Amino acid sequence: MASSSKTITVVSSDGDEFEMTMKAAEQSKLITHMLDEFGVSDKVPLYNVNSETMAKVMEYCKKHADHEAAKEEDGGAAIGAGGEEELKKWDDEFLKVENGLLFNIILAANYLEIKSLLDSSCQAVADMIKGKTPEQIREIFNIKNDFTPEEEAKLRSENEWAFQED
Amino acid sequence: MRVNQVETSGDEHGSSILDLARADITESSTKTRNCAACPGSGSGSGSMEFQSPYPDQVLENVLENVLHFLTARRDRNAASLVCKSWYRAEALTRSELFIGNCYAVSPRRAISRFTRVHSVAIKGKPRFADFDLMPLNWGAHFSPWVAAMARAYPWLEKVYLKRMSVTDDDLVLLSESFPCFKELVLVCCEGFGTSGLAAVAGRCRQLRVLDLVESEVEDDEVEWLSCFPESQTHLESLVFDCLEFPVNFDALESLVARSPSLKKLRLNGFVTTSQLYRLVIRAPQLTHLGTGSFSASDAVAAGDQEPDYASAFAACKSLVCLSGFREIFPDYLPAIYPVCTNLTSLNFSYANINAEQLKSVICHCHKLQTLWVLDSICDEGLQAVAATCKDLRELRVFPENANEDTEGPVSEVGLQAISEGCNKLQSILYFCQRMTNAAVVAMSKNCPDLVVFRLCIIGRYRPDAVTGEPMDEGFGAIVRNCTKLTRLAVSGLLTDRAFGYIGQYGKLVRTLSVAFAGDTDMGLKYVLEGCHSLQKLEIRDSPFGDEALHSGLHHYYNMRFVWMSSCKLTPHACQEVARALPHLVVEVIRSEEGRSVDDTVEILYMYRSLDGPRDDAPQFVTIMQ
Repeated sequence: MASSSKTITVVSSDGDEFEMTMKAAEQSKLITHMLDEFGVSDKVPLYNVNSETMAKVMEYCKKHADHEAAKEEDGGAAIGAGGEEELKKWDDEFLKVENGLLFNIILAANYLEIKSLLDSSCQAVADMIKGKTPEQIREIFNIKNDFTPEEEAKLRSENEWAFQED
Repeated sequence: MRVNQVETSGDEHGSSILDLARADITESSTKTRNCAACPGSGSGSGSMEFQSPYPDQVLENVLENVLHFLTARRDRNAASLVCKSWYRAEALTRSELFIGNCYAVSPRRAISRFTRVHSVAIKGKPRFADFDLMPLNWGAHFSPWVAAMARAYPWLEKVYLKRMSVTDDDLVLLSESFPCFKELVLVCCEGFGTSGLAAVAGRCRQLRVLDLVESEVEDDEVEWLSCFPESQTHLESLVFDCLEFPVNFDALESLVARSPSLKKLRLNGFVTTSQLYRLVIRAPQLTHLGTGSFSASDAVAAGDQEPDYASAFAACKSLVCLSGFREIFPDYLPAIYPVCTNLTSLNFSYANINAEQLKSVICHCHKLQTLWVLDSICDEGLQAVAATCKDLRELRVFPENANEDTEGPVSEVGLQAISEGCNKLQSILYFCQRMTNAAVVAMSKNCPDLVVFRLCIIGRYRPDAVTGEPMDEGFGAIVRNCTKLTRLAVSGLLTDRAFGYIGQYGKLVRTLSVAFAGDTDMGLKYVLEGCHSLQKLEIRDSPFGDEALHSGLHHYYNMRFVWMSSCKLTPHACQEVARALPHLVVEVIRSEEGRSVDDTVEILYMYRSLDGPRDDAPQFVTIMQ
């Protein structure tokens, strides 16, 4: 396996190239498999991810790779007891972007198989749904209601009468 | 079709990603997504313009992933109403199924909507069944549910049942059908015995929780505790304090010894103190302990050396919840002093100890948040609680003798003291034989966080013990001042005015219990017209009649149930309700002594249902139509 100081290049759907260290690349199962299969010399095309999203994903992978490296080095001394919490806070801030980008991050994380990013970003979207009414949810995500009024009323009753208790 | 283009243009968020509805509408999904990603609809360059070659399946997976993080029922129900694809995704990802009334929906409907369920909670009989007001064999059978789930939910892990009728066969089927089964909690259930428990203990190899709470269990003389596998178990919680017969102690001791994860252990009253000792020294990791009888051992009478109970308890550094004391020998109380400082929950509701004895314990309990006691501790005991337990959130004071004729050991004095000392109180249940408006008003002002206020003045229509007035103003103050109140139980002498207050101020009240109280039909009318959040109404022995019943027609579909027993209802009025509201199941129930006097209704129990009236109603139940 290549050493962690080596870098690889990935290419976004817009044709932009991004450099990332091996350690950062290892955050993505997909990239790792592609490198195993095809070697590190070629540029890795990631045509499902545009540049704006790619830049964010790069940032995430680098941060998490650095965090892991620090943990390994001093046996955790560099990170300290609050290290995991700090990382979580960083993740929360990292995901404070407008919805379009957030959704693209989810899709990219899903495609690139970066589980921790997929979970955090899905959690962030779930947090947007919490406490909202269906109308509010539709508005946030710009979703068309394809229920007829009768269907919707029937479902509402079903939910309230059968499957809800406070 | 570009149905959504109008909506997305100019919209900053413009997310087509989670708008899976379009996947249904379009033929060429890629094309539509590109079209919807209009220039200018994103916040910056490139944010919405990616070519999304993602097939619908990917998007559905992503939505399911998002919904996986939505756990609250309300949120899931909201998500299911967003659009058809969200409905489908939510149904696929709901892993905890909650059925608030087993007769509101059929098992078939539940399992056909939710196909990947790991945990099921079902509630059956209404609460007044706990007080023997519901005749036996009324219903709430677990059988049709377990039969349906056995076919539909092979990965089922948890079952929680409250007030259901459960048979041994049900438990056998459960143990045979779910190889991953982990948790069984039966609260206020009946109909099964040790044979059923043996099946669960023996076959559910992953079992972590077996909790029997206030359930009636038959002694089939099967040694169920011996049926657990002989290797180490995964048990984390074993609760059987409601069992009214002995268990095999050797089997129990061996089980505890080979259950390293055991955190909660609640023993029944047949476990002696010396047996308790032997268990506690084997399980110092316990966090919740029900002590069993806690009675004087034979050693006491013989003057023999007793084990060092105090150090056994002292070794339990993690103990936070203590209960049991079914036949308490108060001399043993010092044994629990070492654990008192960490206790957050203490249940003395079976311990007839006096004020002094309580004080000796409570003075150490600074962290206590939940306390259940018998009124044998008197007002003086409550004053001690008020002085020490500044963090108290929940208090229940039960009557040792629910006797109408006595003065009673607790009164308005105790309530006043608690209100002054325990300002963080959220929930109170208080039985007494005398009370004053002043004390209740004081509590309404001193305890603004009250969510549950249940005052049971034993004896019918008792007025303010000092002024002789009705208790209207006290309860009025509660609904007016306790702005978070959702559950209320009233008693004592009350006029329509009290109910007027409840209707006027009790806008968040979801559960209302009325016993031996009320004046005219106007009272119930005020409640039904004013309490917009009312979900559960249980009334017994109160003078409300047909006109009052009629006044709630606009609201009954919004409610979980209405129970009215020994009131002034006629079958005709109940039938009118049934005819006016076809989705309401209106049950007129005769108690088994069967006074078949045709123009009084002994028990009315009504609830909405999606699937019509049940087909398992016994002969003493008439479903009005």
